[in-house]
Amino acid sequence: MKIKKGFVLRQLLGEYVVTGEGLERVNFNKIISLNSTAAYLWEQVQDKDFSVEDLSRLLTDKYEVSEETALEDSRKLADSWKEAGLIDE
Amino acid sequence: MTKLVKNGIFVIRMVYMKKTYKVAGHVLSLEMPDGNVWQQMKNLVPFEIGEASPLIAFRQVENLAEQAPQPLLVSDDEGFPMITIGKTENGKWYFTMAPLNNLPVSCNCVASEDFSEVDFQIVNPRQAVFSINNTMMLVFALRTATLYTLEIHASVVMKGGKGFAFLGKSGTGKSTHSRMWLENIPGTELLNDDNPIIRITDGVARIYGSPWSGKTPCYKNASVELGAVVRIVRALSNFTEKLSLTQSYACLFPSVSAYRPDRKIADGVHNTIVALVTSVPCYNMHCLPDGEAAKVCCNTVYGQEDGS
Repeated sequence: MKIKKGFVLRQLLGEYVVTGEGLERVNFNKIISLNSTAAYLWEQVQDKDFSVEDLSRLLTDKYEVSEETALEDSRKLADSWKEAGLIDE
Repeated sequence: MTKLVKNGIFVIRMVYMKKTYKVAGHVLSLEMPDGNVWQQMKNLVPFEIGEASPLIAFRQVENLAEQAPQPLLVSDDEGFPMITIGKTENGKWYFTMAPLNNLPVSCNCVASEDFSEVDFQIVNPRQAVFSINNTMMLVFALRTATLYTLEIHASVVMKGGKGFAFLGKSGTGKSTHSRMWLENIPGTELLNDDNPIIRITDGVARIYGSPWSGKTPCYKNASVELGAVVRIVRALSNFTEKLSLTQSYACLFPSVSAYRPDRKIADGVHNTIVALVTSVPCYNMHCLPDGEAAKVCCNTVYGQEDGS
């Protein structure tokens, strides 16, 4: 999967938000807020093809977390990004 | 328009007129043929100033020098003006505009890359006023995005030297809530009913009237410090809810111009909203369309009224 073109992650006073911009995303009138972990993953995989396993590996590399938990959290995150219309399969 | 007789043939020569305006402190010039379109655009009159160097120069032309490119964006929501945006081969912006998505294009324009110069061609003279106003609004938002200026979809009242901006989707009752203030809160005045402008200078947010005010002809050349931003939410009782910074950001984001065609403009809009939500409180006003709603709102954003 891949993050769609036209989404930008920005800091908002210690929090993180994703907004749609550019001509591709002009009708995306939503704000997605991310916690710092999700924002870290976003930064790592933007402009790349990635899988749930890639997200999970990024988590286990950076945080003290079991593979099982990382995989489950990654799956949930990917699902929520999909649901929000942020990624292409 | 002047008619000259030249060798017995009538030659019609357009006489162009140029006027200069100041909107939220930004100077705009408009140049177009003398004629009754000027008389119809009374909304611009309060903003006229003497000649000055403009931030954006609008000019009507007979024919555009550029060919229409393939549009990159078509904004054609039902019930709203239709706008397409494209880029020409030499990097200029090309817009087309129609009053509604099922009506033919009424105006084409070409803007320089930084939106400082705009040539527009009126295709349908009967829609000239619509076309000129919408061209000016669109380009104003794009040109000033990087100058801590936001064109915002809101109805604004003034009271005691402060402005209160009511936001919300079309049809939620922004104008109605303003009317409730006007009818129930002494000393309230309408500043603008649809498209006021917020500008942040040295950390202070001011809200300005503009020549664009939707269906309400309220074109006040005035400004006040912005006291609060209030999102109108229909409810079964009247109460206010203070918003967190992220909620405030999310509340403002859909109410500002949706056109962020490049990164510089998008960053400008983002920075301005961040500066705004850190200097002005934002609320949700859950309300009925009644006088009590205005009083409840006023108590929160302005303070208690004595004897009312």
